[in-house]
Amino acid sequence: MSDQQAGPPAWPAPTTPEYTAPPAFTKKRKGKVIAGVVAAVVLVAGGLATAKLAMDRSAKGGAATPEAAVQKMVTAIEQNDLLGLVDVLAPWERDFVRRQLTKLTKVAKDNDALSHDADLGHLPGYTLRIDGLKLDSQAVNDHIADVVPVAGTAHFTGNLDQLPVGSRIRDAIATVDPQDRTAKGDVDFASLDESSRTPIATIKQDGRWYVSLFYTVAEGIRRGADAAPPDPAQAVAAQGADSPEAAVEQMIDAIRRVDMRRLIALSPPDEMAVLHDYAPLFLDHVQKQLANRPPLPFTVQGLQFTTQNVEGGKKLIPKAFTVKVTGDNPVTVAYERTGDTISLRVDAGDQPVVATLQRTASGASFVIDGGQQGKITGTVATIDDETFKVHASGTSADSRAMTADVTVSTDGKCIVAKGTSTSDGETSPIDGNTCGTGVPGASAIPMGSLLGKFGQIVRYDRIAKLFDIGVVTTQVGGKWYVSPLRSTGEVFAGLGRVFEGLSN
Amino acid sequence: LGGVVLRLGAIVASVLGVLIVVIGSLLPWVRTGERTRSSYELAALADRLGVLPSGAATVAVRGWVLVPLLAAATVAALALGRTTIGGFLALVTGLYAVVLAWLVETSRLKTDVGGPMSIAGGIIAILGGIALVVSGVTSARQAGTE
Repeated sequence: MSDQQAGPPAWPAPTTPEYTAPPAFTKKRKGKVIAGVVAAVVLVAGGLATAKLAMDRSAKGGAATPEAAVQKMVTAIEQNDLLGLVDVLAPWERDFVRRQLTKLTKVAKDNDALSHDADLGHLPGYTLRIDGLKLDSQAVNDHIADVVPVAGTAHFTGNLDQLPVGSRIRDAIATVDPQDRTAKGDVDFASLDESSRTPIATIKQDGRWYVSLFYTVAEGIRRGADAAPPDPAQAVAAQGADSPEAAVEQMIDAIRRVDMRRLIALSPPDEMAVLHDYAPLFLDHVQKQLANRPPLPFTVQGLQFTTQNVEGGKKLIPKAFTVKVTGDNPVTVAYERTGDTISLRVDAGDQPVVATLQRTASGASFVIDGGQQGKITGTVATIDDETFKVHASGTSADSRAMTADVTVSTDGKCIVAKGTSTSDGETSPIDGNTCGTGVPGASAIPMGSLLGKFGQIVRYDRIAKLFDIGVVTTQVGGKWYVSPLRSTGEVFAGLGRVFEGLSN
Repeated sequence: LGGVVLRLGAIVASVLGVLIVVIGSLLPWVRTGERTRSSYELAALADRLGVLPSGAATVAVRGWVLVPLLAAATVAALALGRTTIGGFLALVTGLYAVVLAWLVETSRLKTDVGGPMSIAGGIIAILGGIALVVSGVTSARQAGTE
């Protein structure tokens, strides 16, 4: 047996836990805490500022009340702030006015009606200050309110010399007596009787109030006619078409049937909201007047379009169509544009007349063929940017013939025609100059200059722009509508494109 | 010591630059008639009037409201000692301000003090930001080679 005894397990010797002092609140740590606090505060401040700016930005303009909307407009006018003035308008009108202003300004500058440095952001030529303005609004219905000034004094001054007009208009202004070039006036709104206070109409859209030009006009007419306010429940419901082409075809059909209600229903419910709202005030009367009227005596066949994307819609440019006017004097007009050839055929009697314009390498050629009544052919040749030559030859039904070149004299003051004329077998020369002025009294515009401009216009590229004028359709809520305002604007813009950049 | 001073200078430039950008953005940028508009009012007006070109320019103008947040993030990152990130944010804020303000300054609008101030702040922020980013990248490379 062994002496060795199994003893109890050996416990580790007790140790005293080593005391570690808590880390001292050092300067470094204190700095980190301060930095963290600063960072958090700065981040929160930056976040709040951004959120505030984003919220301001998301507001769709307008104002909380009708009076506030008109007050904003008045302030913009007082500050000569055209952009601010446009900004208080109802969203659709704002877009429309901005588009038209941009286009018209360009055309006006090109044609020297506006000075080239005219700044649309600033409306010069007047000052307006209104002291103590008080506005009062009257609800027309749930989304229209008329606002009238009931107190305050407007002080107005105007000065023709400060208008940003082009040189020609400025010269005309210079002929006016200096005293007559300025105007000054005060209006005390409180002293005006009610009929003299023109109400400014405001409309409510998405909870905000906006000034509306269209509704102001409509309200003026309604009040003048002493008619009842428009009832929103009676408004003409928008009824668009499934495609831009269908919208135009339905519009032509509505015109043919003289169906005013359908025409209004085919107009865009945003742009033409005023028409949809106010049409019930006159529509029944007009429809009664037209009730027994037969459809207009015309049909449109073979309508084809070229479609162009334009800002906020699609423009449909006619490519081909035939219009047949029936009745005592039937007329058929057939139009076709194929590539660089534009042709028009008019059947109005025994003999059709066919006019064709075609692009050529140096300009354009044209043919006006009246069959037995005669024929004129010719070319328009562009010599350079400023000069051109028209060569024309023609025969008439009584066998007279003529061939001539028409140009502008080298000094640009006269029209020169040279050629020959044959009648009854005798040939005589044509050699003539036409000088002087094209417009009576307008001594500054020599005839040659006018013809020079004509020469620039009749180039194929320019004249073809006339045939680019189309109908503008817009899509609202998935349906297509014909925009009367934008289509009308398109006509003016089309004319502007023809005359754009002509040298003076 | 030179490196420390340079780094400190870059931090100060970055903070100062983005602060000037923010202050400039709140001051009048354009004048129409007698009315002045800050950069934010101008951006909102341009958006409402539909005059912004589509694409990146629209995104850039609409995103302009984020400038105070970008500037705050720059200052916060620098306060926390994240100098490279802070420098990068200062660089982005500065470039954003310079490009946008320059576009407004060269437009046909009548401009006011806010735009030039933002350009000046933007340039300072860009310089500070570049210095911090370069210094951060260099330090990281040196740490990697050791």
